[in-house]
Amino acid sequence: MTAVSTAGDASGPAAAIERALAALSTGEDAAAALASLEQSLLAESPAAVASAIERFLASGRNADTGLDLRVAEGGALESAPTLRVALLDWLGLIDPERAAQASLAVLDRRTSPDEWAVALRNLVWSGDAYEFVVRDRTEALLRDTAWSQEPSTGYLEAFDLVVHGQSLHLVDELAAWIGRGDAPELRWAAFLTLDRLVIASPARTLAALLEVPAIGDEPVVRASLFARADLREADQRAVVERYLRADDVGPEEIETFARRFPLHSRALGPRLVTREEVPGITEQARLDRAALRTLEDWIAEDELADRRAALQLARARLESRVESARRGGVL
Amino acid sequence: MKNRLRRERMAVLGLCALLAATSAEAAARPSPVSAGLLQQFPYAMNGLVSTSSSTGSAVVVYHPRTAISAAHVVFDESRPFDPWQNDGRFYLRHHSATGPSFGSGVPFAGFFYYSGYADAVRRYGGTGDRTYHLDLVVHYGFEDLAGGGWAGWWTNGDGVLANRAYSKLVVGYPSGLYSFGHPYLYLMHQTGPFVAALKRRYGDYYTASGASTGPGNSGGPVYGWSANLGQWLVAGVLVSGQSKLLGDGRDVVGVRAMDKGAWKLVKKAIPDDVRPWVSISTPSAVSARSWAFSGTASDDQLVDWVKVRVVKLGRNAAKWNKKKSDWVKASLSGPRDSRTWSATLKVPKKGSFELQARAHDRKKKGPVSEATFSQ
Repeated sequence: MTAVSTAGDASGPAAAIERALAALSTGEDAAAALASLEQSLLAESPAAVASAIERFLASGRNADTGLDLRVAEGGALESAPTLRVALLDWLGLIDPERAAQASLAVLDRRTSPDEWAVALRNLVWSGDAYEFVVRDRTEALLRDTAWSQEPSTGYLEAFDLVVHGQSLHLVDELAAWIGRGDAPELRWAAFLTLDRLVIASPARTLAALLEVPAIGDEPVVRASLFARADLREADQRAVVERYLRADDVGPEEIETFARRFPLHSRALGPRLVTREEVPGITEQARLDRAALRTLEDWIAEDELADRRAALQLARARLESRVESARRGGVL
Repeated sequence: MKNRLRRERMAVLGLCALLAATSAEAAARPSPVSAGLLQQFPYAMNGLVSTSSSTGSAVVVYHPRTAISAAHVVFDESRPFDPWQNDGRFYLRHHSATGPSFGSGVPFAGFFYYSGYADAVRRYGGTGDRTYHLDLVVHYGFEDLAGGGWAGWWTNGDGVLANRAYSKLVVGYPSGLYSFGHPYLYLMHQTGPFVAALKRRYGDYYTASGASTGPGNSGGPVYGWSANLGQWLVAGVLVSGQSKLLGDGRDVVGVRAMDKGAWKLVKKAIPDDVRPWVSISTPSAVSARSWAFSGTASDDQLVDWVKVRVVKLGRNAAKWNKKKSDWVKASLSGPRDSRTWSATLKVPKKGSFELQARAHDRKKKGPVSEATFSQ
């Protein structure tokens, strides 16, 4: 049987958590209090620490740290806005299975979007068993009207779970969020999520985007997303050709597409659960070369005559890049 | 700093060891770099970044095909969902009264930036401390951006910036200080060397008063002097500033420190299929027939070993080379992110010879670097 400390012990993990709670409640330096707590917990057995965290989370008590929620490389938190979020994070690192159980309890109540984000991450870390719960609760989190009004950092980080789950059925909804004028952070998070869905699953996401009549009255949004296409893949080329022929794609949108295509640049940074795969430089150069050849075909097509001027601009830019790749020995 | 920008966003080296450091109290101001120094370190690695709508500064560092700059140079806030300018080009050592013609220079293949930058601009504004903390971009090219060279770097640029013991130098293109037609408009400038302990404002964003640059200098490197190596090494990227020359109340530089986390972003811009590389330093003679060679190699993510050989040039070369010109493994040492190789090799007693060095990883060979010597 595992020895477990109780809150009454002067030492042990439960006592360390109580000390941290007291320190945070009296306004002491939050970063120092959490660092001290972490040191204390590291000195204890993982089982005892997990038990103490479980009991504390079940008690419903909490204290603000005044710190931002910051995700570090690998998905662990660099800093947490509350003691409960910090403990939930540590539990996920110490014992994924017990963390999953505690996280399910958190997700049963409408606590906070930051807690939910870390709880969902814990479920992902524990394996595939909770796939349905993750998807369901992620959507509940993102659709929570109050939470989305002033999205916290945890709320925004939770968009990563949409990418993780390849939730293409949310494409319509993400597009609608981009059109919301009341929450600029939400609009940008929705855009980044669509962008990352395109990178992860290009043909299917782009096909889904073709069915979206407009993205928040922002024609450049769809253009930027289609600029990610890899024309060496037949299914992606086909969907881009449908896009170029679509009646609702106007001159401004095509100009944006031409200015960006093919788009390699991307946002990098720590995510809650996903990892970035950066394509090799040779791969990028080959993609450029293939795109250039396809552009030549399109420019020659009568059916795309009204797109020709924009496509010629894209060709000029790509010729320069392909030439650079040749000079660099990449092609 | 890009040209059309906010004044608060704005942005050294090499043999400036020869120059006395200015104290911050004496106000270090930007001045044109002498044209004769442009080919020398650290100026040789600097250049102008230009997109269809902005200009700024950058430095080739860490790898011959990567350049760091400020994110806001290629970020256009007026385009809510299309802010990133994807048509950037690099103009190495540009030094002219006029800007470069857009078609010249080397096109960047792409760039990486922090995913939180755009969100920070929306939350805290383009000039918020938390925004400057993320104001970093890593450009990469399909070809070498500075003729195969690159600037050295501090792995702990934050510590160097905050320490008064290290002289600082800022390099870049503060073209916003001048009106159109001014002969200094697109000359490479330097601010310093100056002495200052920069203060941390938020995360990796630091500022110091008593030094200034100007609009257009954003993205330019902030170097810290390494007395041990006798070199200027990149410690940060200029991201903001104020200047009395522009009517501000004081002179200030704001810098995004290049710490370990920032170098991780740079590493991600070196895709897996980039070949390893080596450089060759000035050798020293151990004896008439034996020389000690050394140099640097890409970090150990790319390099498993370095092989070197001496190739005699000119008369009797074939005979000498047949006997003595074999590839040998060099010793590798140094921290993970700054590998040094060394080897002592037989050299011809007279005449010219070439040292060839090649880095390998487990899958591929890098290009051969060559340097010619004679005795």
